[in-house]
Amino acid sequence: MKISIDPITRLEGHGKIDIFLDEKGNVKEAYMQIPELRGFEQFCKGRKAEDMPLITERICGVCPEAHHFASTKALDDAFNVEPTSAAKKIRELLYNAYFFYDHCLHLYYLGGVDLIVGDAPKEERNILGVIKKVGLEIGKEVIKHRRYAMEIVKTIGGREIHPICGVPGGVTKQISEEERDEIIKKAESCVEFGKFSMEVFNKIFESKEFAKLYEMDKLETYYMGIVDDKNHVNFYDGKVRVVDPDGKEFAKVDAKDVLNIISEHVEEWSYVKFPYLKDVGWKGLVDGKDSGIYRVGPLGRLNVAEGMSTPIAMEEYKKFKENGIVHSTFGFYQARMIEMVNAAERMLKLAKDKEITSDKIRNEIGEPGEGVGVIEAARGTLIHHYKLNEKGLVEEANMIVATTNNNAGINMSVRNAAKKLIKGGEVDDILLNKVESAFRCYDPCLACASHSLPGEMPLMVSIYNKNGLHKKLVRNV
Amino acid sequence: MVIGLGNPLLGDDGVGMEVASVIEKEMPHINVKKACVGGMTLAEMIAGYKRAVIIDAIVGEKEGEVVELDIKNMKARSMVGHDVDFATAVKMLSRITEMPEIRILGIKIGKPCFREGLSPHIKATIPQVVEKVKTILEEGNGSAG
Repeated sequence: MKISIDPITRLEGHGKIDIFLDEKGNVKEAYMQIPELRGFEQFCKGRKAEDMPLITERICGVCPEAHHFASTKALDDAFNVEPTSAAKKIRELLYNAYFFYDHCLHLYYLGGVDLIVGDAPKEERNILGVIKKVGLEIGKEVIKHRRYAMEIVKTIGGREIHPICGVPGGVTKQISEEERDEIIKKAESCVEFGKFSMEVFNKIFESKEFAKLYEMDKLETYYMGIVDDKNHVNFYDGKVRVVDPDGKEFAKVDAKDVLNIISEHVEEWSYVKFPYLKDVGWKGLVDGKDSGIYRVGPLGRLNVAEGMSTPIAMEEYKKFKENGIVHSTFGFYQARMIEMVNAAERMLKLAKDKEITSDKIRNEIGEPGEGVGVIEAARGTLIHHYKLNEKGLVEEANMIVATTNNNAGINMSVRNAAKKLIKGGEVDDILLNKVESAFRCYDPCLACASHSLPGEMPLMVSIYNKNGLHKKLVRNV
Repeated sequence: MVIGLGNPLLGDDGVGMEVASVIEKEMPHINVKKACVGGMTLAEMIAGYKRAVIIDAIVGEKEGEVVELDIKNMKARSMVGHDVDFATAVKMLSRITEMPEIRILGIKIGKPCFREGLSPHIKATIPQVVEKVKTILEEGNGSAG
């Protein structure tokens, strides 16, 4: 059967799921197409290198900080400069504030909806339903603490949402003692809210409903993420570690070498490529040790790590990894919750560090060349790779975003969920929502460059039977 | 407050920000922001204000046409992936905090693509939109923000 791909008519695009039924009406195959950001690399050519952190952070209306610092780190590498110790800490402090507010958004407002009101009627299956269930007071705390974290980003980054502080070799602005005191107060409150959230979500994770979701999709893939020198999770910097499906270290490389260990597979039905581990190879959309598919994001990071850098998160990490590596796709939520607490604790730790107010915030840059910057975006490993000419202008720019790294995993999760849930051609709203919940675990970015009103980002679901197109549904509009 | 929404790297999509820049210059007493954010962050940005005027580009057939969108007609929906739509976000926040009276002006543009600067016919709409924003602010007796 020929599979047609709808043209992407806007940059915001739309997700598209095609489900193919066999003669009995059971699912034979299912594919998810993620819209790709096209033309951006071309747009960057000829730009001044130092403008890249400000340009690339406009790729995404939701996680600009990740692009800003992936870009800044690529420039550190391209100009052969190591940022000062204080600059690294300042960047990391801002970065943890971003992680905190972003994870908070997903846990409470977005994917968390599946955990808290997943089976509710359509009209309540959104944040309004969540508020109804958990109470208004928690909602107020969510808003307050997201705002605190955003204010920390603004204080350090120089601008709300889109920081302007990252430059090769360091940052543009030091933190004053007054600013530090303010950050400490907010970070302390975020830690308390993180602990409270951990209790709220642990109750959900211990529920029978979650146990069912937990079993719905397990993929024995490789995992990738950044770790520090103790093999603890670090969102901002470290080495890129890959573990195999048994949890055994497969690779540990410097950021600049990460492109040497992966390749990208192309499927004719997808605009987005499928990265895989070069030394294992592409074996199709299958899991297991012989398939080079890896997953990134909270689950990837906790699976590649041997611990967390802060005490409360470490305690939770130990429980999470009690039985070793976690393959359940819904484990993403548990990992995300642990990371949210880690981000708050890390913010506080860095804000209290004496060096954070140092005025040694930038080192001299070297000659322009080639550079790779790797960072953990909230939804997974993000890679920026630039080639600069002798004038410091961009000759080539390539980016691999987290959702692309997870493209194979997302497709397999959607397929597994569809196979388990859709039987005898019976498809209803609740079932489709459950299928969709499998990809929501990844917190996928379907909308790089999206910001616009009215904010619609439809998901097209097409169901094909032996006679061709059976049903076409525009979801969530 | 006035918020100009848009992505300045997506050509005409940046028109809302351009309008906001003019307002910022001509009406320094008004709280003006320029943003490129998702629905929930946008709703959080306006929470607590009395009145918010939002200016954004919308993809539509009659390029250059300026329309006022009514938030009540925007469907609140469940989410797809990565963000909450603005209507849902406002509906939610209104239950837990003070939300402003919201007026939304849309400027119809063609398909956005990566380039800098506005097309001449979209740029030409700016004075008209600025006047509309001023009228809205005057209707509120200057109480915006």
